[in-house]
Amino acid sequence: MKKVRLLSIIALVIAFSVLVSACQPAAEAAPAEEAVAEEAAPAEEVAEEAAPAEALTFGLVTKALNNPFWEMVHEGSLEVAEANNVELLYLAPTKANNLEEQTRLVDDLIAKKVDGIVLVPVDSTGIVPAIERANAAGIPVALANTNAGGGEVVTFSAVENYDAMKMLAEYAVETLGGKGKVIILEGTAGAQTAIDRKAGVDDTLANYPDVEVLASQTADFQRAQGLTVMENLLQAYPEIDAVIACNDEMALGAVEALDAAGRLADTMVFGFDGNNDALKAVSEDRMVATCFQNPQMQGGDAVQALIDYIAGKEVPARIQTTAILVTKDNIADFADKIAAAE
Amino acid sequence: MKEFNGKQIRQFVLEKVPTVTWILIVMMVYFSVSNSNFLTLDNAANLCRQGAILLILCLGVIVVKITGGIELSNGAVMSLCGMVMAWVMVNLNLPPFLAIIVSMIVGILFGTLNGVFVTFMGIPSFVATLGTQGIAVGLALGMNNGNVIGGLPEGFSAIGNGTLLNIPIPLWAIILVFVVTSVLLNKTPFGVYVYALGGNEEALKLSGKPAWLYKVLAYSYSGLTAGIAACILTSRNMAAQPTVGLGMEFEAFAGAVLGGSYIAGKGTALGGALGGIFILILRNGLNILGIPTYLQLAIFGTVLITAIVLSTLVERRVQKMRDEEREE
Amino acid sequence: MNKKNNHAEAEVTEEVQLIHEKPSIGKVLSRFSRLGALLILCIGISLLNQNFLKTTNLINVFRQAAPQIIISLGMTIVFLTGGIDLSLGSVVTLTSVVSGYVLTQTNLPWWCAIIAAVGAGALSGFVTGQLIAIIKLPPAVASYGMLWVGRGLAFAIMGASPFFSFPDTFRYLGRGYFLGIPMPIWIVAIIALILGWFLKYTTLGRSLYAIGANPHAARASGIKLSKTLVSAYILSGMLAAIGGIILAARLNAVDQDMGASFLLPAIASPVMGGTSMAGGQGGVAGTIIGSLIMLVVTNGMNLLGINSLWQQLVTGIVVVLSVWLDVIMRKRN
Repeated sequence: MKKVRLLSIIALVIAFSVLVSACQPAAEAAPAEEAVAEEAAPAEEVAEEAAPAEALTFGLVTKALNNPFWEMVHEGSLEVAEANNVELLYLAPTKANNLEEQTRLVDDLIAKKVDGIVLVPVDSTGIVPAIERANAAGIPVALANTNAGGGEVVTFSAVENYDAMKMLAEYAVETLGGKGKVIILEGTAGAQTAIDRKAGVDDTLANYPDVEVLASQTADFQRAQGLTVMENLLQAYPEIDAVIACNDEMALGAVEALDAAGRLADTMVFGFDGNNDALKAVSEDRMVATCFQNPQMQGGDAVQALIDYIAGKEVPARIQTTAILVTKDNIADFADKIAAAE
Repeated sequence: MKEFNGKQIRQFVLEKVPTVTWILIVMMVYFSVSNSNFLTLDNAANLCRQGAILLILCLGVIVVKITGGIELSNGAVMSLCGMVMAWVMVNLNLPPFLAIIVSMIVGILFGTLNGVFVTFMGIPSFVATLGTQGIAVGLALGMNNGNVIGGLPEGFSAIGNGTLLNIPIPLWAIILVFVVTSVLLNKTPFGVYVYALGGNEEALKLSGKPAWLYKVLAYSYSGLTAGIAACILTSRNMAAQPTVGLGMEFEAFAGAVLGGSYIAGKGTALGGALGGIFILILRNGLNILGIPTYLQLAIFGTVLITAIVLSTLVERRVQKMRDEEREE
Repeated sequence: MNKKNNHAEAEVTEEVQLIHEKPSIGKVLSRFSRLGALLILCIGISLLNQNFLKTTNLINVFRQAAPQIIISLGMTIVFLTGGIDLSLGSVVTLTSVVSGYVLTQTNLPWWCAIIAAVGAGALSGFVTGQLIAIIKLPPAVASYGMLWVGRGLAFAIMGASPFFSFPDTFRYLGRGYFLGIPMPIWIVAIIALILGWFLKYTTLGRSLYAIGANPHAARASGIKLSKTLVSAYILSGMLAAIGGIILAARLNAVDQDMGASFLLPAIASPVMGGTSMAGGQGGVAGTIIGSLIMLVVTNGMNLLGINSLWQQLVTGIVVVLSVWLDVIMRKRN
């Protein structure tokens, strides 16, 4: 019996030792490995030369599956990819906004040897080593929506969250008439977009001493959380003039809470993102405004940049997506998106 | 052992090797045939770097599972350990090796806390570890206002990405934790008591041995593995995020279950490691095949439950064989 | 404690009557420990913030608690048999996704969505039950596998874009009022009464306790073990489905993650309410109190303006302490 156990342990050790030899990066390898590296190198060159002719495969990694926003980024990316005969693999962490899982997804795409990765980092700092690993493997990375703190990227395609949120907050103050009681719903603690947008709101409101911030709480970018947090805040504050939510999902949760309490008429709700159902809510007067940040274009531009980069064209390091403030005045421009929501 | 007869082979196939091994092999063959990028050196390297975290957690969970407990706090404790070690490196300028020790100590502390809840306060392990999970998440979020801690010293990156004697350090960590767990379970009094705790706790108590001590130690050990895993995780990301490990406890639990330890008093370190490898390779293989995430989970669930059912049926068959042998 | 909570005594006696076993002084005390904990908590919070005791806030707490109470009741039934159902959170997700699918992707009337959701819950419970009763998997393992299957199916049905904007008739279940009381509270009340009656007076209800307390004795007394087990899981799946429907109706949208956060409270609430995870002990009233303790803590922290980052820490401590209190009371008896 002991022998058998020993055998299986030996088998495991052998299996691991196979892994061991595998685990050496070609660059710093022992002589035996160099042969492999040499063999591999010409093959890579051939592949690179032949690449434009063959169909490319890109990977798209977003932050989560539970927000329609990411699906819109996917749609936009897919459209550009299909138009250019690029195969697009779409992966996202099953645990929303989980850095560890996202890192694994990027590593798996590197192992799959995709031709390029479009990445929406969960966290700007924590994703850097993963981008560096892609760099080391010679796979170009383009960022969409959220920036990263390091690594070499082809481009970064997004709106300026801070500026866009400032624009929205200015509009909110304007509609409030420069004074009122405001609640801020923040995004997931620690997430880059949450930090930038919060800063945008805070810096704007700081200029208006008559605007009182009753509470600023996180609702995790989620609709369900937005609903619960708002329900509780409604109990604490009998008078709320406006809710500024750092994304549409939370804004819509807050709308449901206000509606159920019969206080939607007294409270203005502002969102951010421009999700289809939020646009619909603006058209129905359930929300006052949102900030359309064109997720389709963010994804599409990033894919296009990768294709251009691989084809050897110049690619701008920063592709600025224009953020559009959506109010009752210009909601007609988004009729097709509202129709899609129904 | 030199002369294999049919029975011995059958015994070896069914009894001595955890069933999950065979399912694992089938799965690997499938993935290799389906996609040429699966069975490559690069992917193997990728797997052993990203897998270290899960495997090390699994090895801790299996010890707790053998005592009959359930460990649901290690994902959160791992996040907290990462936050604390990053904090001491950035704010106190501690060198990485001291930070690693700090991380392990935090892990052991929270593991021990679980043990104390379970033994002295008589709280079911499920609820106790859930409570600890809440406490650890709360602390991890609160200690830096929910923000990520970055800017770690350059040298720290070696733990997750460097090599020692041409072997990646995460792999060393797996081997080390695996060997330690096996030795602890098989060669020490601790192991004897851990199995006894799962088999018949009352008898152990009646024998006058300090059953509580070993139970607490089992939880502490699981905490320690969370502390070790945190080092690799934090180093791989070169940053500590307060919720990075959340949900990991469920994957580690699945690994331990697949490794054959869903019955108290049973299970081995090898089983735990293989269970972890199974989950890892399944997720990795589905990604390599390029299956969309929202379909992956359905496949993952089906394969998982099939694997569990299969290994249970095999185990029952083995039991039958043993009974027959006894009758002979 | 006795004098402080005079007005609570009427409730206490009601609670005791709902319980399966005959009331004795010890048991009343042990029951009282939980209600007492809840009341002390309430008094403490209301001293710190006047808004807490307002009727609107109490109704708010109850309405928020509704899905969690119903899901916890499902878990209670499983606990009674000595099992555990880890899949309940993902059953909530799956069933709300199914109802969302029927409501938005088909032209069927709203009640079809409810039937489909409850059916999906029952089916999921049936499979879990079969795995446990026929294949003889340990409950934690079988339901754990089903957790991933349910979650996977929810993801697969939905693809990547959540369903939203449901008809008003459906949403009435989550946000409507009847006689001035929100619908979710009515639903909880009706379910609690039916379940209380079911567990106490029906053969099946009694046999749930019996197989949890002593499966061998139960079998000897002619109870069909596997049938009873399977029906327990079907019931808990159906209750999770109702929780999911209320949730979807309140939120006016469903996503693939909405049920996950219910699993842990659903485990903690029955245990805090005195239902033994070993089986055979516990009941409806305790679980409701357990759920309320957890919800009151969250609500109180929000009212007191405690940073949400620290809230999980407090919840963790409260769970551990209240279960500990329960363990101590049980030992005394």
